[in-house]
Amino acid sequence: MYETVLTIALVPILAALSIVLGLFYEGIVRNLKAKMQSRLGPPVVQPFRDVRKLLKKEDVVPKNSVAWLFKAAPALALITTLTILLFLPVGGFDPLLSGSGDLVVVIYLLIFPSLALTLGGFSSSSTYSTVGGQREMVKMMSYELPLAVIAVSVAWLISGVEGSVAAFSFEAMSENVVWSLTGPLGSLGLFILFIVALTVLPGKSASLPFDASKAKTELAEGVKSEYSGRSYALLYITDCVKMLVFATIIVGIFIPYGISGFLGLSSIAATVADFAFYLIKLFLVIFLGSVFARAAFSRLRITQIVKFYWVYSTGLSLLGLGLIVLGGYI
Amino acid sequence: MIGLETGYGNWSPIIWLVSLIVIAVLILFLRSLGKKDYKKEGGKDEEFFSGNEPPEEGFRGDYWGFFEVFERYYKYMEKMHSGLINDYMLWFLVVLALIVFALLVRSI
Repeated sequence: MYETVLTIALVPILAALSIVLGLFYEGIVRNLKAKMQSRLGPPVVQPFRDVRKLLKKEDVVPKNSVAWLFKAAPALALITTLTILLFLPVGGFDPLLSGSGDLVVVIYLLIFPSLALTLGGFSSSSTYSTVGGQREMVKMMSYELPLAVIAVSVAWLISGVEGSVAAFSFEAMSENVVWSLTGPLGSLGLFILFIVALTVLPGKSASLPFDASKAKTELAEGVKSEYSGRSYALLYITDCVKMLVFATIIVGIFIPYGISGFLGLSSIAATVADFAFYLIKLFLVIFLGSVFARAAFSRLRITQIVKFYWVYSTGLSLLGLGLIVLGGYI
Repeated sequence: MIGLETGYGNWSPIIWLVSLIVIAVLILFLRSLGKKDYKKEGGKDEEFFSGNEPPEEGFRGDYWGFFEVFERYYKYMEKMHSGLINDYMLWFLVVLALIVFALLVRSI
């Protein structure tokens, strides 16, 4: 009973910390992207200033919209995004709701924010938002398949470990690091899956080159075009937290290592070291999956995005799965 | 634990729901810090339409986008929905036969 109460008490703390971390990483991403394009760029704290400013602006509701749904969608998107983090190994610790949900649950929950965003766009009665909503849904259907292949591949590897239970759980992934479960061929397959996961990251966080659903210059922010003020602030935070969520999933699956054991630390020093190491791993994943992609590529059309995820990402992920299975028999 | 335990994974919707409510309180508090009202003058609440006059019939209908994009699919599906009970029974028998076939193949 005491444990349950403590867990529930930690939920808002983790949620608040995730919002801060999400905005902080967004600041880093924007700054680094600007540096890579030979621009000065905004300071790292700019996203916090953006949110503060948005909270002071008017929250306009279009007159022909379905008002209750239009107003509820941004909050719903952020709330559901934050619940995903409760099932993830944030900060190098076991998931807060450990034993109450696994990778399959996380993949399902990842649908909620996109769905909420789409509903908000449709309910706004704007053509731009409606087109943005359609694109968001199409995009969502596109990257689910490679994601599912990654989950199945990793679970297949872990289920082969003697005495291993709950192959889809992040605790099992942390105890049985996937790279140690296979030979060179399987490792090559895992590396391919890691690359595929990195390609899904910008799709999930709706950033370049997969931001066709909001396409500023074409759709005037798409699903968000009618949003302003505090509602827009919530959507802005949602995008930042989504990036954090998916980067944590990648870290949890592919880089679940801690550094405290290596340094011979214990107690509080170990906790601090592991948390700092988690932040570094997060930065690495976000840099490879988001900063580099945002700086190097321009926006893809929605048809190109679908082709990219269904043909190239799915094809590569199946190749990765094939190599892992082959590696298991050789 | 109240929930689903498959042996390969687990899922407890009650705990998720409780957490969702706790986070909802936090987010609604954050939302309440923002400005609540807005002045309606100056056509602020008109839908954005690149500075043009919005069409008279408006953009109403939450499924407008779906119908537009999936037009070919809907037309195809409409043809299948003939309204004749014989057609529906035929579909039912075909699907049932496929399921039985799949079960038989699995049991071999």
